[in-house]
Amino acid sequence: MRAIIATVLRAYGGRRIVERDDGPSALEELGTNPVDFLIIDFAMPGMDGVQVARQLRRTREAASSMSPIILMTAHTDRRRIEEARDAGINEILMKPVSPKALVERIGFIIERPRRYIRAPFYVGPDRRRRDDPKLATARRRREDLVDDVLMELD
Amino acid sequence: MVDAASGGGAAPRKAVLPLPDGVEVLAPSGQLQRKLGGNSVRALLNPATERAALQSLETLRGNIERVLGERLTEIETLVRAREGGSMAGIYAAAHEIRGLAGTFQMEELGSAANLLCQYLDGAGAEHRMDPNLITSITVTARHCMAQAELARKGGKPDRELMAELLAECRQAVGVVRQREGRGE
Repeated sequence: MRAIIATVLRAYGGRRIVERDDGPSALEELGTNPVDFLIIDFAMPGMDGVQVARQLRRTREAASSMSPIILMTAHTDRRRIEEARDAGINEILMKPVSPKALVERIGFIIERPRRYIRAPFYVGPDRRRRDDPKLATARRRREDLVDDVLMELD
Repeated sequence: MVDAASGGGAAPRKAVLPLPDGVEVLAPSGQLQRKLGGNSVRALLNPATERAALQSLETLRGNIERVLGERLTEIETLVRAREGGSMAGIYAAAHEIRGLAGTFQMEELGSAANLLCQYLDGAGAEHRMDPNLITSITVTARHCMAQAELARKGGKPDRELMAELLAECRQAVGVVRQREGRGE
């Protein structure tokens, strides 16, 4: 699968592509190398892709701690997707992988960058993606909360 | 803590709640955007570049077919061995076949691998798998792979037979899962 992804990225003009065999060696590389984005497979020997993402996000000093992450997976069940989201994954690329789908995911990362949240219970991109005017910004949301409080005081 | 509005008829002043302790909100670095520019990726999404990418992938086909064959052999070996832990190996091999076959438009082979995954989904490590079922699906997968190769060389694959074999396997997976108490 690595060869497929690297070939597609090169075909689309990718210049510097670093490949690693497994989770631990990827984490070692990401600790010192600030990559533009990373693509990881859910199914990997030893550490799966979600574990890698979670550990990377929680390693504050890692050079790529906040790099966008695309997770490739064939699992479509809600539990797995939520698990990936809560580990700090930015985008999910469903298998079988096609060049178009891969570039679309990269496009989402570039065109719709999300803020990052670092909290004791979660580290990763803001999990709210919907362009809901009520939830457009954290500030607006807080103001909504204050409105609710004021309404109750009335 | 809420900084409530003051009284005296003035419009209530909205206040911003502080973030909970230990929570930071960080702006995206913008590094990737600066490097690539806003619309450069969208510009790549056109039929010509996609065709070029698919052509590049074709250079891998020989290797991929070799890997697919190796994974099928791995499944056959693990089924024969029937040792503890072989189920995880079979699932991993089937999972890989499913993904690779899909990318290289070998739909029937992908469907056969998907049936193996469906059969093994949710089975515990100590589950006693049905070797006959796995063998039947693997034989079907080999047939689908040979047909895909035939198609690539300009021959006419027997899609009807593949569909029939896959339907039989699909039915068998349902029956065996039911028998094993893992039915839908």
